[in-house]
Amino acid sequence: MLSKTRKRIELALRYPLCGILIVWSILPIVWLISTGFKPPGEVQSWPPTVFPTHPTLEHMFSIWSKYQAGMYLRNSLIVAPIATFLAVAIGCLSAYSIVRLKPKGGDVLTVLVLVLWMLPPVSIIIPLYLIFSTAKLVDNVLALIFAYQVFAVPFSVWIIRGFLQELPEEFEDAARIDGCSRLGAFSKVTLPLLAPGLVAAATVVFLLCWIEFLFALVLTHSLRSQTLPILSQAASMSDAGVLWGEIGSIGLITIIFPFVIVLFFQRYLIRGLTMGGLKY
Amino acid sequence: MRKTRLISLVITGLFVSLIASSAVAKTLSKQEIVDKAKVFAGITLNVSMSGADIGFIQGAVSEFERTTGIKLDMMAVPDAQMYEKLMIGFMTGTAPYDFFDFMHRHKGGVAAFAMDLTELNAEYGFNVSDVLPLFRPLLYYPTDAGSKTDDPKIIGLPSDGDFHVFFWRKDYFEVTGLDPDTPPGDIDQLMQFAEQLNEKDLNGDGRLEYGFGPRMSRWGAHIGYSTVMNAFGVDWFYENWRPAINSDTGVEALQWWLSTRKFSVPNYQELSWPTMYEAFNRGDFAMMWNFTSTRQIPNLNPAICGISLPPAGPFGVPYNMTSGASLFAITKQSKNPEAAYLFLRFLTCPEIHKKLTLSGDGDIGVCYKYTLYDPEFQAEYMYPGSWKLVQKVCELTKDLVPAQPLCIPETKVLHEELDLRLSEAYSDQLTAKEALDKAAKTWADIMVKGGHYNPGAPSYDPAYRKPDIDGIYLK
Amino acid sequence: MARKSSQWLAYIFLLPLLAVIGGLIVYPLGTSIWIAFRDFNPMYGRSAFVGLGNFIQLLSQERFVTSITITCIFVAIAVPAEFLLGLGFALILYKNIPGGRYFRTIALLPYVTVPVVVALTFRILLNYRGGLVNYVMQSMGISPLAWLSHPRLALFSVVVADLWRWSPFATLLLLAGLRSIPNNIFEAAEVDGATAGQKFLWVVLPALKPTILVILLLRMIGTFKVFDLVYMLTEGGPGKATDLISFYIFQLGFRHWELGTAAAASYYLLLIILAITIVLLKRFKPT
Repeated sequence: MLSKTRKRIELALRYPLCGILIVWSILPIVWLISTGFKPPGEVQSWPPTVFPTHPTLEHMFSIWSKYQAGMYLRNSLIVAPIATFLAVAIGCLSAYSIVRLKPKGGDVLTVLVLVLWMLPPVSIIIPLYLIFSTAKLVDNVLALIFAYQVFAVPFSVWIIRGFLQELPEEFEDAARIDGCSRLGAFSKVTLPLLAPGLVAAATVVFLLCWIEFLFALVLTHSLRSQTLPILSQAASMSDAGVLWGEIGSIGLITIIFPFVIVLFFQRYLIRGLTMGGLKY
Repeated sequence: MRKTRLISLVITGLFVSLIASSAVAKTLSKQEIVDKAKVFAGITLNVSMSGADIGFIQGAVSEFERTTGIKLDMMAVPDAQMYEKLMIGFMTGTAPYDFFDFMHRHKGGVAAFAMDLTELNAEYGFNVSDVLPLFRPLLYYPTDAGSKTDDPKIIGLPSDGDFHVFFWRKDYFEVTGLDPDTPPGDIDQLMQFAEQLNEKDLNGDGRLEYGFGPRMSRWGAHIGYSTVMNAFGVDWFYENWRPAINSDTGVEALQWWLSTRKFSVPNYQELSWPTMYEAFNRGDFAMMWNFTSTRQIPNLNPAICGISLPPAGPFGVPYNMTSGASLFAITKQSKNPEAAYLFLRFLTCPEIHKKLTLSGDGDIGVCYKYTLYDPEFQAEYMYPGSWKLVQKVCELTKDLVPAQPLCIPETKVLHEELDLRLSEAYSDQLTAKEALDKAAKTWADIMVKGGHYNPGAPSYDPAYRKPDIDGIYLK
Repeated sequence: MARKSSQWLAYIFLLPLLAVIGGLIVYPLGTSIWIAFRDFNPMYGRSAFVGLGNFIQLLSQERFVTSITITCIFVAIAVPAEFLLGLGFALILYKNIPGGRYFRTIALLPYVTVPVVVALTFRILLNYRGGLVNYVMQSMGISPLAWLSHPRLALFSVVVADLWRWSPFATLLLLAGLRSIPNNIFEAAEVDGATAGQKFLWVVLPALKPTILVILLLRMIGTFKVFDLVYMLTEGGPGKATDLISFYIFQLGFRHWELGTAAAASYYLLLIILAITIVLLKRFKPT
């Protein structure tokens, strides 16, 4: 009896707390999106309005026509998926090698990967720039795809390694006894079982590539290769002042894709993050 | 082959300049430029241009391609990072451009990579006198305030010109009992007005409005401050390249500038030029000085906004230290400098430049006489309501004498150091004297590294002085 | 024989990883060392060998020292704050209540936003005259604050933006950690008559220790690298109040072209991160 009332009280307390949590989490996002639909005068009006009183699609149109958001979106949609694919492929191969084939020096490599992950991007951006400029890859999406491997590969190696360690080796052994080669067992048995791990790694890495700013800032010059975060930055420092409306609209475009991931791949995202974080 | 061509070019150049010095040549029209450029049909030019991706410039580019047969490979660089990107490209040899644009204050950096246009200007008859006087010194390098030289070279032709003017809200003046049509005459009066206007509900929204909006955000802090230096007659350097910013007058100037904060909107640390326009339009404060941005002025309501020259300080002379321009230039490495030059002239010829300014795309301020005085331009100006304000701005340019801008390779680093120290003073982390002393110390270190104290290095020419080069300041 | 072939396969599988490490990390870091030992400035064509000159000069450079100090303060405030907020949210979300699934999704949203956009959004929210935060404060009778203009407040604002963006990460890991605590431990504690607070202190926290360590470690590394937030929110101002080290190195390298000093400074940063990581790992060795 007593514990039932206690539970009720607890529940009654929990909802207001959840309310605070939701306001904290969602308010800046709502604010950003609604800014995209406010006419210029209303962006910082007094009193501030949560929802635009005179909603306008002006900015939504102008970012495509005048500021060519389409090109930036295209670049983002080229860079992030390809970089993700590469990183997951590399991660998958090397994690399999380290966990299952146990080569000499595998442990050292694992530690090295961890060190890479700590590397501040700013400390290699200068030499990277020099390398890409000699290779004539500056202002080319390829440069970003390669550069993103710097942080994407360590992540994917760690996540996939975690998944692999959880996967019992027996299946593979059984397949090998049945006459499968190493490669055959890898591709026919381990890879399908590892699929959730690969998806998890892909969601996390895609997110990292999608939001990346410093490399994109330095390694790209123009519409040919600049990504969406750079467009937001450009809109905040344009000749015409701070284009709040456009920033809101660009922000909306930019966060749509990660939000879709959260909606449909949330399970994988969470598993990927916890796997990358908790498995040592 | 190339050498003989160059020599012949030099000879023609000398010859033409001889004629030019006796009689000012006629400004080339668009058709004449196109006719000359047709010789180069079939070649491709690499062009780096900020804002090349927008509106009218695209139209002009395709017109040039169509009429001359020259192909243009356009690279649009966002203005926010234009200089950094360009310099990295030049320094690493990865900028394949024939043509590029830059802000005049980055002249010292790009000069090493920009072609001397003197010969081409002579060959194709460019009149420096077509450029409004206020912007004319900006074309030269080394400028006088770079190093003393008898032989400054034109390294770029302007596409855009801006400078600081004073803005005030007539409606707030009226509410406070001030004459809405009389701006403060000097900085003392500015302070009086600011005090009267400060912390009152001037627009009836139930909140306090403030007297003054000083440009005090960290990045570009020196730009807002240079108008103060101008008012007190503070120069950047002494003639021996020792920093002059922390002279007694310099400290006095900064102390005055800091004192304006008493009557300023409390978030003055966030005021950069665009946010100032934003705040001024919203009515946060009654007075400010800011650039004559053609993208922003049309947003102002001419009925309630007044424009004048910034109030004079003790120095009292009508110099303007903040005239600025975007310049078009040709790279030294260009294999087709003449074709690139003709594209440059095409973009700045009377017909195209007028339309460029009228289009309102990008921030194109009036910088050529032939645009300013063109009746058609005046009649057609796209913002009929604010034409008055723009016209006022244009009239003001005639009264001003430009102060020589600081243009050495180190300019940007010097400015950023000053920005930082000013910002520290603005946020009370340093006193005026400490801030300027610190800046001056770092400046001296930078100048040592740059070799400006080496024996035989050219000395600094003061920013404020009567024009002394023939042809630069044609009245 | 079989062993040998699998070794070969192992190395072939590792080739792409080695290529990434070699080409994108070891080679750049090597170049960076070469640069760090030189007075390297392509703008003025300087490239003289100076040995440890850059490293020594940095230690006496006021801006570098301030920047390191500010970064350390930033990390020292932001990381525990992220953890505590994340823990709070995890405790709220832990119990299965109707609608809990949606709450968990919403709590995750900030984590998938783009930091550049977050910074700009906070610039709108924290604006002195038109921002929501000051509006709310004013309607509660508190006088408005110039959030981005006062040196201390500006650093605090960056912390808040960082907190908003990153605390869901802590929430996420802690939720996973809480879930993995076996129920019988709780029951045993309940039988012993432990109160909620005692249960938390004596059961939950020890069980969460490895998770907590991981969060602190990962977020510390991440926070030392913060660049985009300050770049867009305060640009290091006012003064050098928010000149975090990554941003300062960026300025040195890409605005002043002092590539030698910038490379040396980035080695200091790398060493600091390494040192703290090693200390943390040694201190709380995960079981």
